[in-house]
Amino acid sequence: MSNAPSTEDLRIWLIQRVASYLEKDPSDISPSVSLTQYGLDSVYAFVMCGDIEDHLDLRLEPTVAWDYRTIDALADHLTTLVDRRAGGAG
Amino acid sequence: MTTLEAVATYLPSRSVPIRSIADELGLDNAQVRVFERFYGLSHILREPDGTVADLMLAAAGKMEELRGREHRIRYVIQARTMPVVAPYPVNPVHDVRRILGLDHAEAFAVFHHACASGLLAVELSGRLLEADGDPDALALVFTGEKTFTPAARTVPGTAVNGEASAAVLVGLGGSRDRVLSYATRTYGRFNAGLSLADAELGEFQQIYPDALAEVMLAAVDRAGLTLKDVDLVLPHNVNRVSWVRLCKLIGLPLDRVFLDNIPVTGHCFCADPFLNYRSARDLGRLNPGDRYLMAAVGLGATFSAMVLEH
Repeated sequence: MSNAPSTEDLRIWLIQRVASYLEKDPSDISPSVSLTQYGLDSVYAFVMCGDIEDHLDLRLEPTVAWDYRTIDALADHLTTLVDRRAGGAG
Repeated sequence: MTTLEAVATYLPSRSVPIRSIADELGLDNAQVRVFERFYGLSHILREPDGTVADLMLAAAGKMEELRGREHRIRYVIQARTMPVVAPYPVNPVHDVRRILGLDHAEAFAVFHHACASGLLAVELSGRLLEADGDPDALALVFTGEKTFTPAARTVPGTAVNGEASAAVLVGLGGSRDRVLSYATRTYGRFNAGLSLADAELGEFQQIYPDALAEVMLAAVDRAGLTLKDVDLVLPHNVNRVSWVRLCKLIGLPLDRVFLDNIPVTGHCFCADPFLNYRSARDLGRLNPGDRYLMAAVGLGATFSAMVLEH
């Protein structure tokens, strides 16, 4: 059994992080809405990347904030990365 | 054809970690970490006791090619980002002209393209010299500024600005560093620059890579080349990640963009492409016959690219 977070775990965690950056309630954040529509500026998009790196202990491509614009897309991408790492570790 | 007869640069000796001036820049810890980890920014250079005229004179002092050719200088042009850099009636470009013994030359400043004004000044120099019809006449372009106000120290969320300067000797008949093309486009709706409202700032950030790609590809096309023919891009040094994004968009290998100076100098206004030219030459990254592209973006917002042959 793996300790890796599921896509749903990551989605919830990302919603909490984004809500914290924007000083909003997590219930106000939809995972399918583009983060730029919430007014998350580019620096905080990268702050989020740094937080993800710490949370998952991995290195992200610097363009990830532009390539995956919604929490849903980002959670799916991160799940792929985590699964790939787990597979690679054998 | 417009040519760069010489490029000389001056890098102040004082290197300042951006972490040490975070308060001054209005950056919190998380933002500093972003600048270091993702933007590739680490240090900037500062000349604590020098004025902008000192920066220009220091670059001119390193230009051996100027010696004995002073009488051929027809224009002295300061290409700068800031509309105002000294209290009236002080005029740094006039002071520099006088100190260099170039009183016979016309001296003026261009700042209309903000940080892209350096490329504008080269292009303008070529046009003026061509119109004058004297094949031996030269223009001396200066770039580089002081970080003398809070607004001059940073492009919020994007870059940290440093103090370094470049002098560029522009002529018509040189055989090296020939200007093959120039492309520029200004998006006037972003004219508020640093004071853009959040929605407009978001739009500017959204169009940035496409707008920069457009002028780069236009310049390459006007030079009769394709992107594959460009051996090196000499960028503006705002940050690394914007170039990663741009390269991904247009399929340009990142190792063809000279990014070495970003952690060393930060963003030095209009001087960046010329600082990078000098560094690239010193490191053997430019060989005779190489085609290279200088790129710059000015708040306001102007996107510019120039293709040259070394």
